[in-house]
This record gives sequence, structure tokens and C-alpha cells, in this order.
Amino acid sequence: MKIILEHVTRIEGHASLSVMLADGRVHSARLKYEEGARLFEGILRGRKYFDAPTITSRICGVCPSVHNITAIRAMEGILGIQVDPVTEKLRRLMILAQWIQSHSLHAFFLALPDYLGAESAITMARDNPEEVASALILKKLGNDMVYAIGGRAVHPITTMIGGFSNLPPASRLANMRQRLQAALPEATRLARLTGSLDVPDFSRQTTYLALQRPDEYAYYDGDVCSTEGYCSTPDDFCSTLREEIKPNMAAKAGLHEGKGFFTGALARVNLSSELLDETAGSILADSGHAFPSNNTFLNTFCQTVELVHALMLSIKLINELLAGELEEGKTAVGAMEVNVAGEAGVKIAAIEPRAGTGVAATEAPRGTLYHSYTIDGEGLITDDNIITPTAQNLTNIEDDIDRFVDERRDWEPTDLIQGIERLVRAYDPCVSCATH
Amino acid sequence: MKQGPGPEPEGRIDISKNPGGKLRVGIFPLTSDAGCQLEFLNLQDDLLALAKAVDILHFPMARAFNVDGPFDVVFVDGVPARRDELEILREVRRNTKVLASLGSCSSFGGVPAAQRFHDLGDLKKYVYRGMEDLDTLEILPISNYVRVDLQLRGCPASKWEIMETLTALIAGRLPQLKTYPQCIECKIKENRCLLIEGQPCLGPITRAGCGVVCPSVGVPCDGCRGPTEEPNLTSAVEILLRGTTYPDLIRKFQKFCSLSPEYQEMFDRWRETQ
Ligand code: SF4
Ligand code: SF4
Repeated sequence: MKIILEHVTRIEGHASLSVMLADGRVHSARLKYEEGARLFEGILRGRKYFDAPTITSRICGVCPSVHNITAIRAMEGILGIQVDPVTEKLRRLMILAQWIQSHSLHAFFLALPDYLGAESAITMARDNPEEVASALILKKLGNDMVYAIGGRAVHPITTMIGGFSNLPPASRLANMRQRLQAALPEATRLARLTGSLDVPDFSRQTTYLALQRPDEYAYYDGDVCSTEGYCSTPDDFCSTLREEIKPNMAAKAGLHEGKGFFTGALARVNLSSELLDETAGSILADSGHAFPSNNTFLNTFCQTVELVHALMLSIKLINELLAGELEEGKTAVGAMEVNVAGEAGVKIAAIEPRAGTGVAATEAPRGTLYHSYTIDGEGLITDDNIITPTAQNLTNIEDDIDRFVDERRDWEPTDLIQGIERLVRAYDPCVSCATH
Repeated sequence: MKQGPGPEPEGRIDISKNPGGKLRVGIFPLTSDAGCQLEFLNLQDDLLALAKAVDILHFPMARAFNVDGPFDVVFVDGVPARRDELEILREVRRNTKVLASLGSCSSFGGVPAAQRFHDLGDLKKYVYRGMEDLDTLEILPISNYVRVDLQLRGCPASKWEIMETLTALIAGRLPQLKTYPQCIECKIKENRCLLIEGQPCLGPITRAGCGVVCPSVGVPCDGCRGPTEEPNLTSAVEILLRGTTYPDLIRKFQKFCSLSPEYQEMFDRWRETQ
């Protein structure tokens, strides 16, 4: 038996496949997240509640806003803070922007080169210049939206417990809306293209989990539901989820009711496709792929459908904000630190910390993200848990790889290994998130 | 306590490149959030403009085939948090003329360096119940292991500094990174001063270069770019305490650049009072 190690490229972070060869054929393969432990959950203990949003943002550079806002909402839950509708809408816009940015990055730069037979987006740019140009426009738009609202593209600044330190001027939102509208045809074209690509014939009975709401395609909040009929609050879900420690790997694999499960765009589509925006829904319907689907490879297509959905929804949210709501918005009601209000007219109210536990869940681009905190009467964090999508998916990825290999025993090892890499890429794994 | 020697004096930096050739660039990730690499990717338009002068030969986040050298400049993102990452780092050093730390993790240990305010065994037990034998490494700046020629600070690294570094090296000169405090940029931008309003802003003792982004949107600086040269900490702390408590202030200094040599005396004094 021979073992070879393959570095999985074009994913967020550093992962490898260790492939076991027997008689010149692939016997089995294991995915390993090759990043060290930063021990975020440990270093958060003993810090102030208001440190959690900025520190956890640094777990991941691809979806910092989602970590940041999830931490903020968990803390607001503990502190009994309710935010005004403008704050909530701007936060929603930031989550959608993160989807736009992350989905376009993954779908077009990391995953699509596989299907178009290109080594990288750079070589893809030579052969498919139009697609690459559209994808760049979209990725930049997602970036700029986070920047416009959060003050920076990577690691937002203005988002605070209680509200925003600074509201974007109406003119900036109007400009965003214009760019969103202009990008719609591009996104639609790319989603249709992705939907038309041949995906490997692969199907394995899987449990899909995502946030769900009766009234919308859930992304900001909701109950955790599965395709097997399970439904409960994020709080309850966190207490029943098992996190399996893997030998010498800084990531914990998720098990729900003793089994692996899938979280991400495909899960959301499988659970709530009828709540997608009309344009996005029609792309899904026209693709010829049937949903709910058990084909992991379709996750990339679902991301592109969500891209269109996110554009449409962002336009709607901006319309509502510009229809007058923005003026009534309050800035800086959050208290970053103990503060003196008044003198210079800063509207910062000191928050009285109180002991308690809070859980918040958000649909990050790659799946449901959970943050759970306990703070004491001084506002110091005593206990916390951060459960990321890529960690949750690990068990399912392993099961998928086993099945994939099992069905293709006669393949040449190089082809099969490439196939496994594509399979892994379809999950859009984020190793930084998984290992945090 | 172990500490990085910091960047090298400029005289020893080899800024030569093959005459007429493109600048051979590598971006090497160690353990990190990849935020700094993304800032690199986010430079897409500017990088495209430099395409004639720059060859990005190693960037595993963006390409499937990556070259291991030789390079004119390598940007290292993140910190070695596992033993095998040290090997990567040493190898990279051998294969490049200029080595730049990209961001506060590689420059200072960044957010994860806060591990040292805890017992590592306890931390591992807390996070990985029962798997305390996980391969970990004390979080230290990369300058602790290899010679670092340029320090690009910030969490995330500043796009402006990345571009300045690339354009300077293309032209065969050293980049001119700002060393003065944030407040100077605040004055230029005519921002209202948060410190005067009583908010704990680390601007006066923090190195400029990010475009003073936080105070510009009403949020006090958290010092993610680390201290200026010879910061007057004693007087700064005195003023800062008007807007915050001592423990909160210490925690603020412990956030991004806790391994800055300049901060250590303050931490020692704090520990004694505990
Ligand atoms: S807001 Fe901060 S950075 Fe700006 S001038 Fe005041 S102290 Fe300096
Ligand atoms: S203002 Fe301060 S905390 Fe904000 S990015 Fe600049 S150095 Fe970092």
C-alpha cells in the first residue's frame, strides 16, 4: 500500500488529500485540513463581550461580516438589546454582500476552472474572457457593498452591538443599487451557464440542514431544519450537535443524530427553493436539474442561483431603505467601551452588561454558522462555542469521498484524485473557518 | 519571553531583480484567516495594471499550479502554528530575495498570539476536549524564525502598502512605508477626534498606513498596525483612561499586536497588580 499526499488547491485555506493506493488503483482517500489551531474559543474567554465581534471576524477573511454580525446578535440576545429596522436591514445587506462576494469567488474562480478545463482563473481569463469579466464585476460589487456599509471590504468596522457607528449616505446606497441592477444580467448569464454544465453523475442519500423560515428564503435568522423533518431553534440544535475530534487535526467534524450532514447552498435550495426570488427560481427550474437533489456537485450551481437571489433581494432592501427609513436610523447606539456621552454630542449609550447565555445563527455563504456565548455580570466571556459550516460538513465530505471512490475503482489514480478534488471543491471548504 | 528581532536594517535587503524581467512574486499562506491574501486578490484592477511587470508564481488560493521559486519577493500571510509550517517558512526564505510579512499575524503574531495570556494546555483542553496532543506551536512572529526584510502590518494588511511594495520593487527601490502615527492622517482628513470626545482611540501611538479607516467611521483605533517608533505609552495611557477602564485598555492592547516589544513593560506591570 502506498500513500500519496495531494495539496488541494483553489480552496480557501490549506487542505490535503492523503490517498491510499493499492495495486496501482486508489483504495481510499482522506481529507485533512492542514492549518494550525488558533484556539479562538479559548482566547475569547476572559475578554469583554464587545471584543467578540471584532475578534471572531478574524476567524475568516472570506466571510468576516457573517462572523462579526452573528457574534453581535448573540451578544444582543444576552443583553436584551433590540435594534431598529434600519440596522437590521443594513446587516442583512452585509450578509447578502458576503454571499455575492464569496459565491462569485468560489463559483467562478475556484470551482468553474475545473469545468472549463482551465488551470486557474488566470488561464480561464484567456479562454473565457467574458465570463471572467462578469465574475470580477460581481466579486467587486460584493466587496464594495461590504465596504460601503462596513467601512472596509475585509473585517467590517462600523458594525457594533446596538447599531452602526456610521450610516452609509443615501447616495452611496443609490449607487450600489444602480450597480446591482447593472450586474443582474451578468449574474443571470453566469448562473445559466453554470446550470448548463455537465456535473459528475453522483448521488448519495444525505441529510441537508439549513435555517428555515415560513416567510422567506432564510439567511439572517430562523429555525434549524433538515430535509428529514427535524426542526428546532439554533439554541437547541447547538446542544444536540456532536462535534467529533479528529486525530491531529484542528477541526471538529459535525454529527447530527449520529450522522454526517450537509450545510450550504445546496441545503438551502433543497429546503426552501420555493421561496427564492422569482428570477433565481426560474434559473433553477430551467436548468433541468431536479431539486431537492443529492448531488453534491450541484452546490456550485446553487451558489450561482443564490447570487442572483442575493442581487434581487439587495435591490429590494435598498429600495426600502431609500424610501425614507434611512433618515430615521440611529447611529452609534452601541457601546464599544464604557463611554462618556454628551459633551461632543456623540450618541453612544453605555450598555450595562448582564450575565446570560445567547446563541445566534446565520446562513454564511458556506452554510449555517453558530456562535454561542456565556457572559458574567461584568460582561466577561466565560464560555463560548463557534460552529462553522466547513467543520460541520467534514463528516459528510468523508462519506462522499468514500462513495465517490467506491463507484470509480477502475479509474486511473490521477483522474480519480482530480475528481475527488473537484468533489471537495464543490463544498467550498473554508479551512480557516474549520480550524479557527 | 521570546520575541522577534523585527525587520532587518534596510542595507541588507536585496532589491535587485533580473534586468528587464518581471518581478517574481510569491504569496505563501501559513495559519491565518486568509484576509490579507484576500486584500491581495481585491487589488485585482491594480494588479492587472501591473501584469506586464509582475508575475505571481505562487498563490495557492488562486491557482492550481504553483512554483516554489526562485522569487524576487515573497509575502508571507499568517503565523506558523504547526511544526511543518516552519519548514515551509525556512524554505521560502531560502528561495526569495525579499521576504515581507503580510499583516499583523506574520508581523506580530496577530490575534492568535493572545494564546500566551492563557495556559496553552488549558486552551487545548477547552477547545479540543480530550485531544490535547494536537500539534501546536507557540504563536510568534515569523521574524522569530527567519530574517524578515519588510514588515507590512495591519489586520488586514493595507492595500496601499502592498501596492507601494510592488511598485517600489519593480522600480528597484525600497518601499516607503509610513512610520508616523494615525493622528496625522486624521488631521489631514479633518476627522473629528474621538480621543478628545473621550473614546479610547489608540491612534496617537499606532502606526499610520491604513488610511485611518476606523476613526474615519467613528470607531476608535484598536491598534491593529502596532505601535509607532518609540511611542509615549505612559502619557497615552493616562489620556486613554479618561474613556475606558484599565483592564479594558490592557485587553485592547492584547488584541492585535500583543507581541510588540513596546507593549511588554505595560503588560508586566499589569500582571504584577493582578
Ligand atoms: S480619532 Fe484617534 S487617530 Fe484620529 S486624531 Fe483622534 S486620537 Fe488620533
Ligand atoms: S484605524 Fe487602527 S484598528 Fe483601524 S485599521 Fe487602522 S490601525 Fe487598525
